[in-house]
Amino acid sequence: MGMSASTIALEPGPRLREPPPLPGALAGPGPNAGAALLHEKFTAFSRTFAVIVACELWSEVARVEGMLRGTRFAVAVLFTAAAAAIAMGRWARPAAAFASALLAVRLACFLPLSANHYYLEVIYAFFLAIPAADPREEDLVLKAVRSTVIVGLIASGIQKAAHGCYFGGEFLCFMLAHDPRFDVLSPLVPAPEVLRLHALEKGIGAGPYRVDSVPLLIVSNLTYVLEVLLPIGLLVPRLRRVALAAAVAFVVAIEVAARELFFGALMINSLLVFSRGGLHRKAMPLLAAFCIYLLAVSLGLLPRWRFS
Amino acid sequence: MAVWPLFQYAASVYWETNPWKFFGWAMYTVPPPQVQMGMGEIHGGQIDWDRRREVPRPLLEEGFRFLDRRTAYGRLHAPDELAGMALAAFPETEGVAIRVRSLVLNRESARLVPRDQVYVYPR
Repeated sequence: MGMSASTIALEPGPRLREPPPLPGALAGPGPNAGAALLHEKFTAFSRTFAVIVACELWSEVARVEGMLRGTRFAVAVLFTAAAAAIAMGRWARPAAAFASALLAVRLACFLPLSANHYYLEVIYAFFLAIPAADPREEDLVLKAVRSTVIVGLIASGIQKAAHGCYFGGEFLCFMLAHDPRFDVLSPLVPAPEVLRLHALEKGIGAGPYRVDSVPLLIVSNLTYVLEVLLPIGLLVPRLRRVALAAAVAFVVAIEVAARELFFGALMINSLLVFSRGGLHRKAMPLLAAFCIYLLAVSLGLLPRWRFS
Repeated sequence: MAVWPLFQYAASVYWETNPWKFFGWAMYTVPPPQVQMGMGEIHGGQIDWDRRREVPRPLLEEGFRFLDRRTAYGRLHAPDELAGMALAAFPETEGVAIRVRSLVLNRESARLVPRDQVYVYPR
């Protein structure tokens, strides 16, 4: 009548069994709450990603004339179908794999001029194709996104320092001189210097792209310093909340000049993976609404303004 | 992904590839590259850079395609195809030369300086 030890180990009694998982909203503190929050964050990230990229693709179809417009249109239609599957959570994994392949085709079509965030979108869609029902795999995806953000920010800061055009504000002066998007920096520079920079014509010997302005020097040097320090802050649990708020503000500040707004939305969606509680879920409608607004502007349904 | 930006930086320094491209997280690190191109003809063993002539449309289009690729790939992309088309378009020449000029922001002077590379294609 005696049972072997292995039989006992394989069939735990009622006291050893884990309780069935609770729905996310009902989950209190404990292992289920952690898994529910994880799943909530994963869902928020993946849904927001799907909306951002779908809006961006349709916006490109609306804005770009000529160059491979048919390809852009086909990619937008197919990605929207995949995005709907990702957002609804049905067939999300194969849909993400399909979306990744689709975005890779779009990237290849525009080489060597493909924008950098095309690569990021391929990688994120690939990440989303990994998870199954197991929350640990969703955690792995979120960790991969966090790692990508950390690597991206630090690499960006180090490269700015390595190329050496930020120490004396040379890069910002060049952009202020030749790129109207950077006119937002004008208040930091004495008016005669702004006029001088605007009068410069690109050619041999043009310059000097340097001005006597302490505020511009501070902004210039703070850029690469923050790009290295903020990710370190994101890695330290005690500093994470402050670093996250600062990083989001930093991305917003950059986009005020750069105005690559879909990329900005993509970065903020990635940064929110560092958030705790339900912040990512709460921010999701805001980010989605912002991207839909940008799409409406591209389609001419809403008026364009300075930062759209 | 952590190593790629290092490679991309090295490539932008040694081969002048475009730091703004290829996912190296180096957008907005330097001014967007300005690449220009000039074509000369070889006569009597000398390169004549000043000779002006009407350029056939296919050659002109290939010239623009070359500039796009050169801006991205830097020195990794030589104008061999363009030179082949030019040699075919101008059969009376002894050869052609192509000068590729990149305007880069010099860190010391904060001015734009040229960085030239000349390719010579004798017939």
